[in-house]
Amino acid sequence: MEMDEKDNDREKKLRGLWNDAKRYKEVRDEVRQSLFQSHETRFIIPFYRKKYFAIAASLIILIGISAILIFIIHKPSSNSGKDELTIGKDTILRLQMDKQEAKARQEIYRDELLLQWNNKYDTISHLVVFDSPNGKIVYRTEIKPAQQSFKLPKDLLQPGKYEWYVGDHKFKKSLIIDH
Amino acid sequence: MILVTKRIKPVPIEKFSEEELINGLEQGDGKIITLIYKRNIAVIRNMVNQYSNIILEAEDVIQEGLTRTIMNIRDKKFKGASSIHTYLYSICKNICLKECQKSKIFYPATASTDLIDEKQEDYYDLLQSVLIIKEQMEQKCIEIIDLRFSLHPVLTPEMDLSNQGTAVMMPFEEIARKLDILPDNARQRFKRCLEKLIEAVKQDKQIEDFF
Repeated sequence: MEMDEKDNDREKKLRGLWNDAKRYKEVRDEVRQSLFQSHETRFIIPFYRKKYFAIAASLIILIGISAILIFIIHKPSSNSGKDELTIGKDTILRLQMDKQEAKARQEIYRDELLLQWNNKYDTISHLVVFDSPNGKIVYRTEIKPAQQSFKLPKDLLQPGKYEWYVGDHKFKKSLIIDH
Repeated sequence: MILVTKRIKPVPIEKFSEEELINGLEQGDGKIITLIYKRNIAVIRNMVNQYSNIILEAEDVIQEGLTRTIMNIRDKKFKGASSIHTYLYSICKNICLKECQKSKIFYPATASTDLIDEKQEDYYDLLQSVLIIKEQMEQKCIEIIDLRFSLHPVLTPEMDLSNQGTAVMMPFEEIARKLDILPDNARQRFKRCLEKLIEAVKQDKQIEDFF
């Protein structure tokens, strides 16, 4: 008798769960359908826009192919390995090469400059690079929460002495770019 | 001849009152759902990005948040203590926090808000588990359980017409008629399917705890 009551109660709860799950799925599908339709409408492009889109896409592809070809032509030789330079807790990675090669491949060298730090910030912070002799800020950018490295953009820094920090000026580190 | 095409201007969400937005969600108005999505997706994306150690897409979080918000509005669980956007944000935040708990990641600075009912949010996790079980069941079983469990209003002569009567499970005779089988077969099929369902539920610790 008691067992029957327990089974009935279980079946009742199961029925509630089953029906609620069905209703929940219906609502979820309703939401998905609404959002899907809005996305679909957004992507309906009139034909005259498609023409411009095709031209723009062709240009991008051409530029892309050219960039790949340039990259292949100027690809550094395999004997110029990476060197890890450690300053305090922070690490700077850079290519090691002789002076003449460094000049010739200055652009590629700059592509490889990666700044890393150990502190994790919960909010958006800033990476600041400044000229060491005169203290003038040469580069400033936003750093996302939890980001711990940043690749410096190409052609950004001329050879010289710099200092950089993320978030707090107290944790600044030096950075030397050789000729 | 000059061909003039009229572009339909999107209606800004600010043109809708809070009440209109809530009514729109309650009725599943696709336009309102989309407007609320567009109004909140950037904030939700920003919030989801803060939980860098969990794999969650902001789009999935807001879709789930909207589903729960609509369910809560329809079940009269949304009391209007905050704006609908704040409420949706709280639900989405709770979804992220739950994901962190599942991954055993603790975010001390992001305590849950008291705008939402934690038990109700846990209940949605149960519903998701039921849906997973349902997906693994035979179509025949889903069909008969759906029918048997669907509420069936019974009118008695004493009840006035405004009263819908007591809701009971659908009788096997009616199920048999709908499925074009014998009532005894319907009864046996339901029993067999219910046993399978109970067996599957027993394997799920979360649902078993609920019982």
